[in-house]
This record gives sequence, structure tokens and C-alpha cells, in this order.
Amino acid sequence: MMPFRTIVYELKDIGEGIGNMYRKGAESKHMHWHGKSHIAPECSLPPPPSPSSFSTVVSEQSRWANLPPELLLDIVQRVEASETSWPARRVVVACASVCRSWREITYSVVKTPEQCSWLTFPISLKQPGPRDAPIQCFIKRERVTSTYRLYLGLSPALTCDMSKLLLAAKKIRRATCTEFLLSLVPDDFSRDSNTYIGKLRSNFLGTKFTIMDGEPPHDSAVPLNCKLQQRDHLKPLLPRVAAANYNVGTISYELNVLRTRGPRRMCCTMHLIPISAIQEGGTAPTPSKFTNCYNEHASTTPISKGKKPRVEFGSAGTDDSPGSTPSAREPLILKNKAPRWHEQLQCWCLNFKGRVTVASVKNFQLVAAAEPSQNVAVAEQEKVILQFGKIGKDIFTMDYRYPLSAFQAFAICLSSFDTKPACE
Amino acid sequence: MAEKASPSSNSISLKTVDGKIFKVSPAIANQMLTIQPLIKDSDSSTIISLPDVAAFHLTKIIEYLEGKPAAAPSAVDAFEAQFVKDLSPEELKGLLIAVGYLKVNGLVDLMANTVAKLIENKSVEYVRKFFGVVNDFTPAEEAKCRQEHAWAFDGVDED
Repeated sequence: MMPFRTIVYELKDIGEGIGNMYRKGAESKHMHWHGKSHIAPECSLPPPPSPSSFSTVVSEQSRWANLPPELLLDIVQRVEASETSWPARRVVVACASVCRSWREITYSVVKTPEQCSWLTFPISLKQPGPRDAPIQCFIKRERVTSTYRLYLGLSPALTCDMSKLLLAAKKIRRATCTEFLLSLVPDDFSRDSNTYIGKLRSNFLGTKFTIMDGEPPHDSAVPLNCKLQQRDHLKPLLPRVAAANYNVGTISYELNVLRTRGPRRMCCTMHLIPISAIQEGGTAPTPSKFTNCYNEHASTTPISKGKKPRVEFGSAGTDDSPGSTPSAREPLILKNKAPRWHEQLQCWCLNFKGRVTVASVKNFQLVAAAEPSQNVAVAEQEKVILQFGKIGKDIFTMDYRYPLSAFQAFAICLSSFDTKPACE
Repeated sequence: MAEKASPSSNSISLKTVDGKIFKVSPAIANQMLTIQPLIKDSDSSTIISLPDVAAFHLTKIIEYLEGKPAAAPSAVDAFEAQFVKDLSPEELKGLLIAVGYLKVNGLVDLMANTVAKLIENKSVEYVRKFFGVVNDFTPAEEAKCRQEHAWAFDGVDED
């Protein structure tokens, strides 16, 4: 820190020497404003100024880098509040890439999807959606490349080319299972990339799927004790490691023993989300930033040399929160709403409120399934938390709500693409 | 002001950082919230110095404070639009800081809004250049920003 400071003051002195009138006298008055918004020498971008332009750059800089945080906050708040739809909202992301003080302020201004219903930074894909109105998305399937793309918006027809790509997934067939690799970008599904988000893996039969998060659980609000396998691989973290995989959810499709065609039955267990999250006052884990490519969380992030570490969630969890009952901390279980048999149409029907238009075995609505002992209000058990269905050839809608995140919701929907005929 | 006196004897003297002295009426000075507490105790001989404000900026602030009430209610928007339109980006930046320092009624909103609009749909490099801010990220933080940026942007206006 110290060498930093020294350079900062030198820069300021140069600024004054050149005759920057704003620094004089203001120095003492404004020092308390600065806090962490000090100037630092640039490391890479943009290229260093040429000697001829140096004086203007420095004098400008000392004035503007000392823009009082409250003014900067005021400006960023206005930008954030005025750009509520994509792609215009990307300017908020731009504000967070300007410098450290801008980043800090922008992150303090941007709320979670639960609080504001908007997605802003990539991390918002891992934060639970809003509690009331769902976030509406659609999924495009590209059969040739086996890729699936999740977009923010009602449908391709309604949003034209303005849809924001949220996540992309690539299906990979392996000898014993199928894997979907999830990424922030549509052209890089490498697990070593920092765009890697997580994956979905099926069992051999395609009846059971595991959602693996590339990020460690971020806080202590984990309902069950998670213990790391292969503890001997824990070592001080290197700056960049291939993401580990953390089991955050399991989806199982019930085998239809009669082999008759009928609605599927699916059951999702979200290991990290307590059932209490769907009640008023309950919360689901909400990470505030990605951790996998930083070394600042060295003590908590696992590293492996050979096999990737996997985190399992044992049921022998210790309840370290005295206030909550053990049953409230049990994981959230989601089940699909049973469709009604429609006599006239001779088919199974569900009310998708206009968001699903094509009959498909893949369509589903998930609601919370609670035991009577868990004291979950009936109204909460009827709320559709995730809805997925077909609206056209290779186009599907996906609407999700609290306590699921876009990542978890997308992974659950992807599982619906890969179930084997055995369970239909 | 309670006592009735001629404007000149009652006026407030403000000294800018570049040494110019401006005499303004208490009604005008009172709208600069930062100096408001100083006005009560001052008489015609007091000079309030403003270490963060240049003469040019104070001129603009006074122009705004005098011009806005003079404009018809329906013309206030047009007046404000014209006011910021006349400013170069450099002047805009300096004025924003001066206005933020003095906490000038109404003008803080106008300036912050104007600057917020300016950076809409602009690249990070543009914003850095415009504000004269230096990229002080560590390589790890920068990688993080690039990732967010790549996700958020698939094309941005050329500056």
C-alpha cells in the first residue's frame, strides 16, 4: 500500500506544479472525501500518455480522480436507474470497469435480481430471481452444434435482435453419461476458462442429473454440512485454477414403470437452498461476486492437482444456526405440477399463462414440495418457481423466480432436453 | 433576508480560487448550501473564499441561479437544456465539481444528469478518457472486468 501512496502524492504534486488551480486549498478540505478513491499508476490500459500530452492528462486526472465519491455515486445512481433494459444496461457494467473507485461505487448501487428484478453483472445469473414476477427468458436450441442459448426476453419474435444472451450450454455425449457445460459465452466451454459457470451431468440412464456449480458455496447459510472430498489436495491457491465442481442440485425423473405414455414426474433437490427460503423472511444463498479466479479467497477455495475435487452434501449436517428449526433448513425440493387430463382435447394440460404454446413432453412447471412438518404456507406451495415449455421449433421459454437463480433454472431446463424414452 | 437594505451593502463577497471577487445577493448565495451557514454571520466586509471554485464556474453558477427564476415555468427545461448545451466537456466537468462542492440548489441534479447521459452507451476507454480516470486494477481485477465486459457487450458505439 505504501509505495502506492507515495506515487499518488507525487502525481498530485506534478498536477500542482503545472498550475492546477483546483488542488490548492482544496487539498486539506477534501482529503477526508477520498477514502479509497486514490489515484494509482496505470498498469495496462489505456496506453501511457505521450510526454507532450502528459501535463494535461495529469492535471485532468488529479481533478477527476478526486471527484468526490458522493458526486460519482449520484451520477452512477442516475445511470443505473435510467438503463433498466438490455442492451442499454451494459453501461452499468462499463461503469464498473473504469477504475477501482468506480467499480466499488457501481457495485454498491446495483441491487440483486431479488431486490430489483434486473440482471446486471454476470454474477446476477447466480443470484436468486425476484420473489414475485418471474424473470422471463427463452432458450434457443441449435441441433447441429448441440448448443443451447439462454436469452433474457419474452421470445425471439418480441425482442428481435435485442435479446441479451445470458448463458450458453454445450451438450457433450460421453461413454457413460451426458454432460452440459455452461458458459457465459457461446464459443468457449472450456472448464479452465473464467467464463465457465458449471455443468449438468446425467447418469447412464438419463433419469438422474446433477447440477455442478463451478463456484464454491459462498456463505455459511448452507443448509447441510458440506465436506470436501480429497482433503489432501487442499493447498494454497494459485492465482488461476480450473474450476472445481460443487454439487448444488439433483434432478430425477421418475421411471414410468408401466411404460405407458403419460406425464413425467420430476423431482429437484436444491442442496444449498433451504426450504425456508420460499417463506417470507427466508433467504437463499446470494453470492455477491465470483471467486474462482481470485486468490483472495485462498483459504476457502479448494484446489486439486489430479482429479477435480467434488463437494458432497452429507445429511449429517450440524445445525449451527440456533434460531432456525432443523426442518426449515432442509433443502428445497421442487416437483412438477401434475397436469390435468383434458377430456375434450384428449391430452394432459397445464396453465402456462400464455408462455407455452406447443404441446411437448418437455414442458413443466415446478413448485415447492414441502412436508407438513416444514410449515410451508399452502399458497407458497402453489407458486410456480420455474416454468419451461416449447413455443416453436427449437425455441422454449423459461421463467424463473426466487429462490432459483438463472444458472440453476437453466440447468434444470437442460435436463428436460436429455431425458431418455425410458422415463416417458 | 429580514432587514431591508440596499443590495450592494448587503451583498456577499465570494472569492474564487483564482482570486476574483464576486458580489452576489444573499438570495443567490443562500442557494449554495455549503456556504449558507457562513452567510448569517457575514457582513459586507466579509469575504468568503471558495477554494474549489474558479471564476468561470462561479460565473456560470450565478448565471444559472439568476436565469432560472427569470424563465417562465414552461421554459425552465429549455433554459436548462441551453445552459448545459453551451458547455464544453471540459467546462462541464469543472462545473460539476464546483457545483458539487457548493451544493447549488437544482444545479447538482442538472449537472449529474447531464454527465450521466454523456456516458450512456460509451466504452470504458471513452469514460476513462472523458473523466481522466486511470485504470488502477490489478491484473486479476482487470481479468474479472474483461469477463463481465465481454458478457455485457457485443458491440458498443464508437466514441
